[in-house]
Amino acid sequence: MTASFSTLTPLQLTAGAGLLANQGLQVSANLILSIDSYSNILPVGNVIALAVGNVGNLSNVTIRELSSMGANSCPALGDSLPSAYANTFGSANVNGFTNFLVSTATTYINPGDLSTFAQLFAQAQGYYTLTNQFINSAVNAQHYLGNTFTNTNNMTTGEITAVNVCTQEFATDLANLGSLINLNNLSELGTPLALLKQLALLGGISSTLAITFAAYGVNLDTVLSLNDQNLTASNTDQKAMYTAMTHITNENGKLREVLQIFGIKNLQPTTVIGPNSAYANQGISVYFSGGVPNSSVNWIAQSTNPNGTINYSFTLDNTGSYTYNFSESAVGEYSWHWAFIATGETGTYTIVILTENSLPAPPPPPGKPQAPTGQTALNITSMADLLNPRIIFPNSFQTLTVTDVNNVSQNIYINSSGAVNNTLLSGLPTTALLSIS
Amino acid sequence: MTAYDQLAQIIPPDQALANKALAVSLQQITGISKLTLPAFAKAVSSVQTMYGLPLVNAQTAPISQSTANYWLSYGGGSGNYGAITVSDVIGAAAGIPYTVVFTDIVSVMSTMNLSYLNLIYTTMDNCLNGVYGGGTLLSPVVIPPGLPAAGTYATIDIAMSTGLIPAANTEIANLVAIYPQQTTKLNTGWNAMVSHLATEFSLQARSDINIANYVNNSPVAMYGFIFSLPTYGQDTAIGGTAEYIEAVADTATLTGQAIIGVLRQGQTEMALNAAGIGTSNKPSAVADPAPAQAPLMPAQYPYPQTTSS
Repeated sequence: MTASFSTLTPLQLTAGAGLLANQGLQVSANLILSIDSYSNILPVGNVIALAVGNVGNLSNVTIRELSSMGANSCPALGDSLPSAYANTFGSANVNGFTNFLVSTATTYINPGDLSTFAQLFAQAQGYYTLTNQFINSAVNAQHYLGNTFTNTNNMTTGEITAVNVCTQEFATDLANLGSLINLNNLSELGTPLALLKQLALLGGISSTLAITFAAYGVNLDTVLSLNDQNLTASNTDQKAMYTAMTHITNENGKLREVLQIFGIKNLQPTTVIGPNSAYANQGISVYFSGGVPNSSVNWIAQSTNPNGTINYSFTLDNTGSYTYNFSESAVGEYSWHWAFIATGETGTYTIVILTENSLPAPPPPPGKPQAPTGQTALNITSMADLLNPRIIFPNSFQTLTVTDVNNVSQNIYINSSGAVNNTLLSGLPTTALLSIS
Repeated sequence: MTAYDQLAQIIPPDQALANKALAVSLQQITGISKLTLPAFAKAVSSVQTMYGLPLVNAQTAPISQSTANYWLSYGGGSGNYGAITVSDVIGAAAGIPYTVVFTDIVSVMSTMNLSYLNLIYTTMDNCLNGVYGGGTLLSPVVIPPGLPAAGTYATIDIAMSTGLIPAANTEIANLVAIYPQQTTKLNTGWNAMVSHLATEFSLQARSDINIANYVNNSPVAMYGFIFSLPTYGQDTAIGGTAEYIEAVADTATLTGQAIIGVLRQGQTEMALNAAGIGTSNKPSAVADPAPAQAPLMPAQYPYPQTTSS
């Protein structure tokens, strides 16, 4: 068995042995001495005690008069209670103040049973400890935030609502962004270099991407060091990086790689749904779903039978879908290899065309898939879009806010079109606006 | 740090401004630099706002002035902003603050000629003790000439109520007239003591203290007191637990001195713990010798196991 150390010390054991025998505590000796000094000058307390114990010879009226001598002028000279306290202590009023004080003190200590003092002390301590928490908290609450208090929302949410009061939409957008933003590098938010460093941190920058940066004028030394977290870059180089990012799209397949590394949920078309079989000359509906509503998508599909290629753009409806209606007259298996230009995604859709009215009949065709409700999909079309808050926060950009230097909350965007609030040019801290020259 | 003026040369200026504003806003969130974006997204999704609570949202400070005023006037103790000490609740036994005030009062009185008032009270004492007669027809109260309220009274009660008590009130009035500064000081001190005692009863009522209902001779209550003594020793504020217990400890006894020793031990342990210094101040609580073990039922399967029970 391992040793178990007590929480009691030898001194506590010594004190405890005496306390349990009702020793070691008493009414303050100094209090008694000080009252004795008073009584030696004015022995009125003795007189009052004697009178109270002499009720056979004294009327109640006389005792009251005795115990209120000087009450209206100088109660200290009569050991009386000031007239303002005449009714405060009930029947104890007639005892004289010093007698009452000693009696009260003795009741607290209770020399014959110190355990009642232990209970009294614990209860008193519990009360004032709890009460003081309220008082001290109230005092501190008045100034603990200094002049930075904005509102209760911000105070209770750790200032999250100071960034965006619509927390659910904000959370949706943040979740869709994967690990796009390095929250430990917010002072560089928006710079192409910070974006590339985060990309390098997560998965590295491929040579394909590096070549793109070189192609658009980024210094070769910089390009060779893109995976270095200590990399610095001139404004000129970063401008070139940004230009390069505008050309990193899914038409060249590079954007998809970037989005995958960041873990960004870019909800471009991801599915093609249609029946597996149908009768010849029957109307057939195929759905392309999962896209950004009302956006335009390029679609290339190459069919094996009949020969032919479909290559055109279509516009998604307000649910993010497009319905392609057609019919086939020739029996056989048709297989289309498709590719969405915008996302680089590819796949195959196959349908078997059966003789009209043959049995068994084809199964019922699938219905139109429902788009996720209440969310606007990300519509990242180039890597440069990742530096645009308007685009990466499609559900919540209108309520993005910042507390300005005057402690006033300002919208970052002033309308649904994404116009930026230019008053921020004077409302943000100087360190955020101007470089140290 | 890339400020807006530089960022606007790199990416479109409106995007640069939006990014700087967003960064400034996000940086106000305490601890955000230690979070990953997914972790932050999860936290944001769990946030409950004050939506639909317009009165709460209308607050212009963490707490309103009326709320602050309520709490600042709530305590009624002697500490800052009415904070309460143990002496505010049960100070009488420790003489806090009474001892100091009495000492001041005695000091002031020593500058006054109170001999006649003293004589009145001494005469009262003698009167009540029957020194001047028993207050009967055969033995009336006769206060000798030269003493306050000298004369013959049918009873002690009459001697007190018509002679000595009025004499005392008259002398007190004289003293107030003669010593206005001293009696003002006496009134200040005396009123402070009476007020403090009234506060004690008031706070006891608010804390539901009812001494008459306590359990008599409770070892458990005393155990709690003894265990808590080191902690009490750490409250060294004026009127706090350390000062209080030190005042009521009977230092003429080993127990009283040990109590004060435990208070000091509490302070010492706090300091040593903060410095990482251990002590050998606590003996083992393991019974030595170990108690004999009870013959409990077997709890292990026999080997080889022959039954499935």
